[in-house]
Amino acid sequence: MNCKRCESLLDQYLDGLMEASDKAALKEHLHGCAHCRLRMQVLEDSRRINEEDEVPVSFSASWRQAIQDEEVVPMKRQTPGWTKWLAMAAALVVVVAGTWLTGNELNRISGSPVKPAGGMAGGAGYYSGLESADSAANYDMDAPAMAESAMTRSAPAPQMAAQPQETKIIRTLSIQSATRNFDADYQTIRQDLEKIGGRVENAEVRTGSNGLRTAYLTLRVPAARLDSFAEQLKGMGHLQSISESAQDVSERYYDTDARLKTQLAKMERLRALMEKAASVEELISLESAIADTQYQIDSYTGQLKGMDSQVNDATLNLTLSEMSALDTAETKAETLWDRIASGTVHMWQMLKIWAADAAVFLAAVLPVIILIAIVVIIIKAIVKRRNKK
Amino acid sequence: MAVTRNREDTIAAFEALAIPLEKQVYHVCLNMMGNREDAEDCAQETMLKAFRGFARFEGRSKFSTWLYSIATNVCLDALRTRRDAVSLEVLQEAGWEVADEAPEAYERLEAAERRRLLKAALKELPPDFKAALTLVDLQGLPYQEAAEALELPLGTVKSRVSRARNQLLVILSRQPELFGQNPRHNGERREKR
Repeated sequence: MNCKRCESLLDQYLDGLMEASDKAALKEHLHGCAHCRLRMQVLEDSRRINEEDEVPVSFSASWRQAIQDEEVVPMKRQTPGWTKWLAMAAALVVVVAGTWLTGNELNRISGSPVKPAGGMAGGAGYYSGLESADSAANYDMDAPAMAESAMTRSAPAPQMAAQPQETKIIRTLSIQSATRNFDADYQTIRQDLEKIGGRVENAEVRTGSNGLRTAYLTLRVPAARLDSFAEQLKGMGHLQSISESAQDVSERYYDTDARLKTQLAKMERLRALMEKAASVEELISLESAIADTQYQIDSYTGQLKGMDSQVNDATLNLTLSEMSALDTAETKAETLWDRIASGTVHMWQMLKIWAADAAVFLAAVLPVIILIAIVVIIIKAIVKRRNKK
Repeated sequence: MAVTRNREDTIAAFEALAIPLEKQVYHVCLNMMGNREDAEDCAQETMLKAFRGFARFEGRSKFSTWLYSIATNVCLDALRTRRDAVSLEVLQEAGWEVADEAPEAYERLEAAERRRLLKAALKELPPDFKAALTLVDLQGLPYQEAAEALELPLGTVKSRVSRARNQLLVILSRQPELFGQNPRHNGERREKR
């Protein structure tokens, strides 16, 4: 028997699964080969490496306590695999159809001066499409949650911190909207935001070359109120686009939380050791370990706070552009009479603009015309005089 | 996994499965981390993570395999991110250092002494190798179960265990106190290889 064969047989030998004949050959090889003897000795020792390592009482006690302290969410019924796929497929269909409708709607708005009645149906479809996508992306593990209303899905801030197993989702909503009542709408948005406990993180108003203003707002809205607030914005002015993203940070959140708890438990142990420290060296080492642990605790606490803040307050990027009085894109469904009236007004306005433009043009070219006229008159006069001669 | 309805049931179900394994979990962490303090931290984190994920445990693998899987991942994470701080090891783990007293050949050392040398050698292994060796050789898991716990192909685990064993032998053989004075061992080893 060579060393390679011996090596492959050692596992079986140690597990007591070896044929008698092999055993004899192995023993003979081991007797003569120090290397393989060492190998076997190490394997045997490996199996018994923890023979003297008792489980610390503090560990047994602390993990039992830790799970008692956890707030338990009852085990969820596992959704069968195909249901998840079905829900995702349905969400995809809704998103695609909704986007298509909205695309048509947007084309109609930009393509014709007067938006046809019923155009909002496309907009509504788009919005509900978004919500379905959101549900599928974040709650596919939990079918019943999909039936819940948008309001109940996003629990208010204080409750979130108290429910460890809750999904942690950072929501970001972007809305582009146009309005004729820029000042009034801008004020309303800010007031409404304050009422629901949101805040303006960044606000910028720019005036374009056409004299129309655009406000770029970054708002922080309590996650629970985001959907209702978005609805409110939708009803204001003319919705041009809306998009939403939802980032699930649950795993990172609960990992950080578990590490924080571990470090807190470690801190307690260190403080207990501190009281018993006998020498200066021990004290110094413990001080250093405590400082290190405190650093970890602070770092994890900071990360959790940051995530909490982002989860509790969704980000809403709102672009509000001012529409000129001439822009006839409407936010409400119009009757035929409205459309005729609007068309007539538009025609008159166009006529006025044309007249004004014509006046400007005439004023601009008048000196040239006068000059040409003078030259023509002079030439004509000269020609007349020559003819008379 | 049986569906349980309330908090007490969930805790009781988890404890019923986890308590018999707490020793193994602690030992895996101890062998991976190399000192009691870090081992306790990691074992604690393992239990908490397992409890939090308990609702998702589907019983596709054995509970013990699943628990080993969490434990090795927690330890690998900890080894990757461990900061070079003063460890409590200095205070509490002095006994883990390789003894300075006059050595004998590994085989002839007392069992407790050999285990200490082995533990010291383990610390020198790369984390991935150590994880495979810990589950197979130290915990006595079948290769298949270790592969499940480590989420690696069977062949990879086998090769890692084999390479880890060889590295252990090299590290132990390097102990000049043990082998330097015994030319018979050295000579034979070279010849057989």
